[in-house]
Amino acid sequence: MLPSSLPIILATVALTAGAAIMLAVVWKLGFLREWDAQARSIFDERDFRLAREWEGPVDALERELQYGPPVAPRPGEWGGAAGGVRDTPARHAAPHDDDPSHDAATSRPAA
Amino acid sequence: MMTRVWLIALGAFAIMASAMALLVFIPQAMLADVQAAEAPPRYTERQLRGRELYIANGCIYCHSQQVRDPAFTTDVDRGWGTRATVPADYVHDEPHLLGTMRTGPDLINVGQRLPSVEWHLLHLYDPRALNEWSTMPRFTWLFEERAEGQLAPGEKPLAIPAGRGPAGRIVVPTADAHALVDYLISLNRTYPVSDTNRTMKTIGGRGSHGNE
Amino acid sequence: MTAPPRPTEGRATGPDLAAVAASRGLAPEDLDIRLRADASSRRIVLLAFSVAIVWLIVGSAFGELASLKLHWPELLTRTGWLTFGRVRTAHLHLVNYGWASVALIGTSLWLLPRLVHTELKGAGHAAVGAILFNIGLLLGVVGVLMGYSDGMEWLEAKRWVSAPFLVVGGGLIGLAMFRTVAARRTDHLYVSVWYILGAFIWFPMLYLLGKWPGWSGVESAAVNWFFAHNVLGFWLTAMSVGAAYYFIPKVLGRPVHSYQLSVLGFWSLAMFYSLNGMHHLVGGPIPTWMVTTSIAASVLMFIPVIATGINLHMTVVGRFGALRYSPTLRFVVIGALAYTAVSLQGSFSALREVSRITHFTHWTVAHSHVGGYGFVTFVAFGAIYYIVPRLVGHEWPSAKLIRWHFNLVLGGIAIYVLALTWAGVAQGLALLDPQIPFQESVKRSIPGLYGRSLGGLLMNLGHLVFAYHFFLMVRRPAGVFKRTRPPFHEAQPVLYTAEAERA
Repeated sequence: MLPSSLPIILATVALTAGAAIMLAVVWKLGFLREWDAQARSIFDERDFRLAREWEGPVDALERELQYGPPVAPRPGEWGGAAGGVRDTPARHAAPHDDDPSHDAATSRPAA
Repeated sequence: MMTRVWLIALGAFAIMASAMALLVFIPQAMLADVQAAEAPPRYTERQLRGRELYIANGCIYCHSQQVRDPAFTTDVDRGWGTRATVPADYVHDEPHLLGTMRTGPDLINVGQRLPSVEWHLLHLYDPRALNEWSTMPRFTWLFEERAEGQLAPGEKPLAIPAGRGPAGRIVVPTADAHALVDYLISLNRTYPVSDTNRTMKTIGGRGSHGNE
Repeated sequence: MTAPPRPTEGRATGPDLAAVAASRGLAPEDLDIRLRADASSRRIVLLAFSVAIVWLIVGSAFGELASLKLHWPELLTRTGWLTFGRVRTAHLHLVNYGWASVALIGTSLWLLPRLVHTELKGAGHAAVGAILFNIGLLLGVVGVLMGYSDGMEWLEAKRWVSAPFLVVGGGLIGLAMFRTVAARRTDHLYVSVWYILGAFIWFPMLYLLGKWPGWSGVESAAVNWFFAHNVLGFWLTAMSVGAAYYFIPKVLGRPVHSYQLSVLGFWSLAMFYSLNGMHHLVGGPIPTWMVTTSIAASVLMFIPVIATGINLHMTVVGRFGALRYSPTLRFVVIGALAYTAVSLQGSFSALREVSRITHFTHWTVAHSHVGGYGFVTFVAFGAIYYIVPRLVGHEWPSAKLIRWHFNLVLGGIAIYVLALTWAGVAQGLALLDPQIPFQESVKRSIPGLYGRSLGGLLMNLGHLVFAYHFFLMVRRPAGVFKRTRPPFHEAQPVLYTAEAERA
């Protein structure tokens, strides 16, 4: 199964050696030590605290103990529609404001 | 902190560049020695025009143009060639038309297998007139429908089996149809090639026949 | 009597920014960055998604037409514009360079500012670039339908017509990416950033190589399949995997299972995928060592694929219930599964013993759709479902339309792949036996081809549902495309419900 031709063998050795050298350099520069922080870099506190409907009470409690009281997700937080899995009416109180005149000109904050 | 981004960018670039070196540039240098003396004859103007039409109409998406090693598979047994095709067979092909689908048969030796101009013209006009199981499209725009007798000097109407042509009219192949057929009939790589050319496939190593 | 003030008027500005921030568990500066990041990319991302969805509809329609023609050859044969050989190519370009590329570019333009905690730099020239890129694509596709093709699969768009637009357009988009990364305000470069940066380094290299004039003979075959295979791994896959690495942990609220594995996955993908391309030429007239290298590299692909697979799947394991609540997760997780499947299938298919049967058959087309559709397209769907609410300030209008979309496209691709794989194996086995006449290979594949058309029809219907839903989504609120936008934080207020405030 192994190829016999010389160019292949040389190229494979060169590539593997090159990769190994790069790995050593990167390790020496200290880039390989902060895995956990990098893995968590996409989250903020709110992401961790969001109440997730699919999590059982144990997971939810774990979350609360670790990160603090749960935060309610916005409608569409997970990429869905207001009704979620079932097409029930939207749970939120504020109606959608479809009147364009409420945009721009009238949306300025109260003084 | 530019180092991190540069490292990733450099690493990504280097890996792609070495892969290109290995699979494109090195082989290109090695294949420069391909025995041109055993290459097929150059395509004529008309055959090149036909080749253009082959490309323009996407023939490659159903037809391949390569015969694989008989020790590996049954292309030769099926009658698609007398030997595996080698790099020299394709020196005039810009670009290659090796293909990746065999919805239709392989064509690299179709000129040897089906040398009749009339057959190819009819086949392009109405594939199912010749093979009722065929799913090849019709290339009707390469032909002109005309009233009976409306022929320029030297032109011949297409011979169509009864009931399959337009009623009361004749069908005349255009120059493009003739060019395409000319190209197809030029496809013939059944002449023998020397061992040097054959082992071009395994540059630097012993001849291998697909058992690696 | 004027209408009562919107419940959030006056809320999200000035001194209350801090209160709102606190209610979301963020410091005011953090709130700023995320909203600012989203706001800076809003227009170009919406533009990209809108265009991509148009390409999806048109490209899928061409795909369905091509599929029908293979078992209904008399369909629309009077004109060259609609011959199978041109329609198939148009389909390939529209769905890969149109839908998939543009949707993933939009996703990456949204992701990158968020990942590096800064606004998108150069959104203006990126938008110009996006328009140019799409013009180049359109010119290429129209050219192909007219019969103008450069001849190599995946590279048909006429060089001197399309390339200027694609190169300049793509370059302007890439410039925005690099400028944004250069302006980053974070020490951490999450792995998705690597994939996106990689994609924008690799695609230009590949394109230059592929479209360089003058390749001929078997070298052009090597170039062709170097390009075509690597554009999948280093452009489409790279951006898709990058997106999956963000959306899966983000929705689930847990970091990826093993970050080390993601780094291993990235670099081993780069090293091994790049050498795969020649497996499209197994048995072909190129030096055997090239094919052997590719087969070896294809098998070595187990390493990055298992690494990524373990990572993404183990992150989800135990929480598959989440798929019921999040369309994004539904699509992206299934996409990730498809990625593992298509890659394992690919490693398997590269082996000579398997290639003898499957090469030149419909199996390869089925395989490419597991990847291009089951993986890439599904990830793009999931990304769009997640991102667009954050750009227009409200959730999707209809859970029913989401369900219809999901069921149609999932059912469609399942039928597609099963039917076409079956057709390919039947075809391949017939081709392998010289005693069996060629016509048998055609006849035996026809039932599977009908199945493929059925699957394709479902997929097309699913896309129409999706496009309609997207249209409903971005129409509302009416102000979304107006020039006189309120400040970014006032666009958000509809999402601050009374309940959320109390939370």
